[in-house]
Amino acid sequence: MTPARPRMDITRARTELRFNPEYKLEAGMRDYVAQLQR
Amino acid sequence: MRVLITGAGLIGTHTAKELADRGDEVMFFDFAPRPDYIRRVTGRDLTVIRGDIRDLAALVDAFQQVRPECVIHLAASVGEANIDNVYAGFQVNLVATINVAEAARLTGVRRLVHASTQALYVGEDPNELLGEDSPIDCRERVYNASKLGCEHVLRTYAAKHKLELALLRFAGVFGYYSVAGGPGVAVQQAVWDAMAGKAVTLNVYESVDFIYAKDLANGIALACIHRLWRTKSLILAAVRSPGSKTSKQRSAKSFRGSK
Repeated sequence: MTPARPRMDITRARTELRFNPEYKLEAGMRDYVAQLQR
Repeated sequence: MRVLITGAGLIGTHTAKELADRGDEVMFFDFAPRPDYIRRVTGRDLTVIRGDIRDLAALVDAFQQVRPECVIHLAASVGEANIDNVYAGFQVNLVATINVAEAARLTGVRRLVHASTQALYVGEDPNELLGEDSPIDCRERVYNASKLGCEHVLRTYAAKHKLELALLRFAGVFGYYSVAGGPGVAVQQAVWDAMAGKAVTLNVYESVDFIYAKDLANGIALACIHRLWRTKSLILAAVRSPGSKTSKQRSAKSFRGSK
């Protein structure tokens, strides 16, 4: 098992760019699969 | 806004789509572009200037031709596994970035967005939260050393020549259709395994931070259009759930059958 690494803090990007990621890992993988199936 | 993107790969094409959808004018500078892939991701036939980022004269020509208001520098050898020659790795990642900065200076480009990496962070405590000011180091890796060197070079150019600079430290990127390197390769393999009907184990993939190409493209576009008054380092990652399980099994059906 790969040891977990520290999490990344995106507070600055959220604050200064209004960056708001929509996809967690699994959602991104699902969207990726959907694109491959098109 | 007129934007020139170096590198028409996974991140470049998704960023181009994001910007073009907003009404921006986007062009690529790429050594070996794949027109079908660019069209598939962006839905457009975008202009690609063929050239090598190690060639300063070619970059200057491209910048003069496009007159970009912002350059997004993404072209690179990605991940330590893809760099089998130290000299060549530094040429592609570090020397080429110096070329991009110099071409920007020579042609009057005012805004530069650069792809850096979460791999620079040295913290290993899983309970730690890493921010832009957390300790970074190259740890004798060519990829990390080149990216760290790029940050120093670009900060210096920005200070000396009043460039507006965003240094974006990406989490592991994955997405349609081709991951050049880094931890996103493992996610890509998992997706392909799922498509082939195999069970997918996510234990590896939940141990580091990832970002989906569409989210990353949105973050890069935001860095491009926001006016930056001074050099900024910014982390772009998805939100990893605190306490997420370190080992999960997902069947192929669970990916293929859900939206």
